[in-house]
Amino acid sequence: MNYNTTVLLIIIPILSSFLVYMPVGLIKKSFKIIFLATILFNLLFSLKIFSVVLKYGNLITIIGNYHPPFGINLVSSFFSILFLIALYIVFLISAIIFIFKNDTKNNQQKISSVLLLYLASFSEIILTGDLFNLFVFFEIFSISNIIIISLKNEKFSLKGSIKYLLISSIGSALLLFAIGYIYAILGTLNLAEIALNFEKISFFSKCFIIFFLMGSILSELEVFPFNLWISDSYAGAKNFVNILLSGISCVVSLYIFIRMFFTIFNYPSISLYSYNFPLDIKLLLLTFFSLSIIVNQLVALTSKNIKRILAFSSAATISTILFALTSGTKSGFSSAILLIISTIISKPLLFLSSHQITKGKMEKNLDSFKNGINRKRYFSILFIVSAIFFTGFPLTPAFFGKLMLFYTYASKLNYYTYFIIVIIFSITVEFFYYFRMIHKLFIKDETERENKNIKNNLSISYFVSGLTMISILIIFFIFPNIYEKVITKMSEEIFNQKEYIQTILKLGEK
Amino acid sequence: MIDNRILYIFSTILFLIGIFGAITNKNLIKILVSISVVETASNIFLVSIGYIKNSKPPILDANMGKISVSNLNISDPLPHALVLTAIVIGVGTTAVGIGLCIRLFQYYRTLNINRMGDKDEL
Repeated sequence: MNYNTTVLLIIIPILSSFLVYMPVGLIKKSFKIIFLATILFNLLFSLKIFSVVLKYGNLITIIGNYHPPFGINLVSSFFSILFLIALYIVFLISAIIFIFKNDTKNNQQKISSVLLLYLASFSEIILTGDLFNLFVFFEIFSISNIIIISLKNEKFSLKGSIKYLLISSIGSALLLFAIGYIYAILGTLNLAEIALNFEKISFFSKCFIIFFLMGSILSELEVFPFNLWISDSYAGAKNFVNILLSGISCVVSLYIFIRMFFTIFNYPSISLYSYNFPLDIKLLLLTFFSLSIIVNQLVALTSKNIKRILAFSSAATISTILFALTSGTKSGFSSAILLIISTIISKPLLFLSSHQITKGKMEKNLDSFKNGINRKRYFSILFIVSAIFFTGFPLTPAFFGKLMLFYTYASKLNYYTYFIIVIIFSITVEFFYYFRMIHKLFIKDETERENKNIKNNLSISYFVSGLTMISILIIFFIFPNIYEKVITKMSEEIFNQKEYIQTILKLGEK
Repeated sequence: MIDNRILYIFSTILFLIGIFGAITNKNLIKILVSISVVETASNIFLVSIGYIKNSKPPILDANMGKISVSNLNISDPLPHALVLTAIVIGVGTTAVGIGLCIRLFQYYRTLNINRMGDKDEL
């Protein structure tokens, strides 16, 4: 396989996004086929690349024959391609729901164009080896997010959308400042070369770069207090958008965090020490993420709107993943990956099933779950199973993830061990509000007689999507050795900064 | 001749003014303008990086002759190219923001963010 064909993962969705929007008769009729074919192409082609990566190691794509550190290059490693495959599966499920849904028929052509840009942007973010390229596609990703949140065109969705726009705009300005500063000091924008020289720069410059880069992705990572947008965005957005936001948007930001902290800053061994101002970055981040976990869990506990509960629960999980990553150890990283697997599969399923259970109800609050087991038996079972997986019942990925998180902080007794209290608090609160929701499903609804006219049709797209995701969950439950090997290989790659630098820069020497 | 450091300080001040405006203003349009100021500050910072004192513009013309060590004192064109992209992205974001403001105005008949609250917030 030609090394440069990886770029098709970005080019094909961009071309298709322009193609599906064309007002030509033939395209107008067949845009759905183009849309789904593009996603399927990306999924199958990424599987092909994955097989090549397994056989020959990292693939470097050089664009315009400018060898690294010059020009733009794409890096397909085991970690990045596997991340991409997982995201493509979630995107495909969301796309199926969007295409076969009746209420978006008028705008489907326009929305599918935006969704394809979204697909291209997160593919590039994950594959890119260039910092400015990352900025450009991160902006396209943010704009696509803003548009898809506002699709419902109601008060909540518009408010959520503008809040997201304001926070992400400030974030992008911070990212641009950080990029400029890196270029001024190191004279390069290639991630591998930045990683090579990062240790040599001064204490002040390191702090400036780390805080500005962190500040730029905090809004997407839904970390408190930069997560004010999620309250309205999730509650006001369409169901397929909720799946995209919870299953893709925050996971892409997590990927950027992992790449920046581990590959570029070499986080566990980064020396942020000055004689005048000793800075314990680990303690700072742990405090920050602990605060985020506590606030998000408490807001989820006190919320009444189902989508808000799930949104803040998702934000709390992302903060827990960041908390695990901050440990900087292999066990912490493994714990984070297990929790990411759990989030990618369970969270979209929770949104999908809860949407179907509350369908037809005027208010989407906790009471709309009443008698769900009789009204929507299939989706109620899906909700219960996904909640069990998400909260971390024994032998599920989330269970192993949380267990490893305990192990990470308790194995060495120091002042970081006190942070375990935050995890215990988080797990307890999470169990409480998920079981409150499950309990509501079994309570008889006395007001239900008034709403008997509601149609109780089972949507095939929702049925198939739910079945696919629940099958993946059950496979992970029965065969835990699948992710055991994957996690070992991922942590080997992430903690081996030298190999990443050598593969890219040695190619440039030729 | 302007020193780079003056431009760095100027862009930092502009950045802080923009952040202050975004935090203290209640009108959505004013907040969007403040964010545009923040973006402009980052663009100025990026352009100033490419500038080298007493340097020539990076244009190869008849007066310059062949590229040699003596006429290598040219400003770095890469940040300029990056800024062009950043400006385009900034304009796109502002346009989407103004579009959303129009739709919000149609719902609430105001652009004051304090008057856009609903009773069932959380």
